[in-house]
Amino acid sequence: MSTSIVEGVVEEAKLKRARGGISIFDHIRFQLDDGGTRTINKAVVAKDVAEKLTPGSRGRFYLFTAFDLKGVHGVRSADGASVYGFPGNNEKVFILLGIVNILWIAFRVAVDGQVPFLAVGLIILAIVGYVLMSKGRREARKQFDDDESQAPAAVDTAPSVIG
Amino acid sequence: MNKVRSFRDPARLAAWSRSVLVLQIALAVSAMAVAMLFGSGFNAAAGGSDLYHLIQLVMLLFFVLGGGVVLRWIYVANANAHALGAEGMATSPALAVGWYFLPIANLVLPYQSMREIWKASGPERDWEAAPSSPWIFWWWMFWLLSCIASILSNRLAEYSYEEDMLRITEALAILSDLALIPASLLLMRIVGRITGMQRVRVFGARRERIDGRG
Repeated sequence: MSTSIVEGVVEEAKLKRARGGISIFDHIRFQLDDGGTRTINKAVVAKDVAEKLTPGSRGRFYLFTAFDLKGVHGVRSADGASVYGFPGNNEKVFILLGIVNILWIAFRVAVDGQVPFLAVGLIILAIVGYVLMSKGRREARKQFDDDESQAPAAVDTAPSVIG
Repeated sequence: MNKVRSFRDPARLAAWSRSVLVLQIALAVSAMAVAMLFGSGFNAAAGGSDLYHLIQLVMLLFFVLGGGVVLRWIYVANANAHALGAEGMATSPALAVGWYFLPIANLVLPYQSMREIWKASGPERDWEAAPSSPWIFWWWMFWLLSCIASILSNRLAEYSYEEDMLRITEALAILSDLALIPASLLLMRIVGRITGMQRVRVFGARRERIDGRG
């Protein structure tokens, strides 16, 4: 789990699909202020943040990795806008996965006394996935909040959180 | 928190990893040779080939011990990629190893992690835009094939009192050993190239040519 900050301009943002408040970009490429470029492949971004990722947008972009996801969780743009949104849908998916498999194990134990290995494996996956995703979300929030003083302009809109 | 890591020369671990993989290939070839010479029934619990079962036992022990060496190399190679300045890698060194033990996720995430190490070890500053290698894809496909064939063979073995089922389990056992050979060869190549790329970035091309084995 890590976070990083990019200062520069969105050079290209190729959207793959957007659904349920989450946008998945095939890739996002930033032109950095120091002259280099930074690409993020298969970036997962909350809708509010995704709206700010248009080619030509300048500012500070906050990047995260959590479990196997990576993306952008915040933008402080040169025009003074400040937007935060963490794509936390996977946390809910992992909780659901855990509950369904606990029920499955309970059902099988009640019916034939067997513990299905697949369900045990899926519960382990759900616990690890949930822990890593929620840790990533907390780190992303902290990074964004701690960096507030670095906003290009001090016009801060109310941050939104998805998931 | 993003940890600051320092570079550790992976050459020695890479050499150990490749030695382990060579031995794994030798054991897989031996197992197949014994199976072919014995003929049908080599894997039967009663009346099967004792030598084949012994080789399988050695392979299992070696898989655990040798796996530790390769996983150690993966840890160091991932840590080095971070140390060389690759920002935004999805996996930490611990996770790059941990993915192999996480059910279901271990079907995909170790492959993704290896691709990431490859890309982040190259000279490009914008490492995510760098190309990966098809070797990694084929290594992972052969590795999965070997594992799945082995698991199926073991699970079906309890029904091998039927002639047809015995043949299927034995075919799967040979397929598992067979797929392990290209998987190991490709992993040797990947270990060598990643180690080489990392050493070139730190020590320069000349020293890597002199003492590198990548």
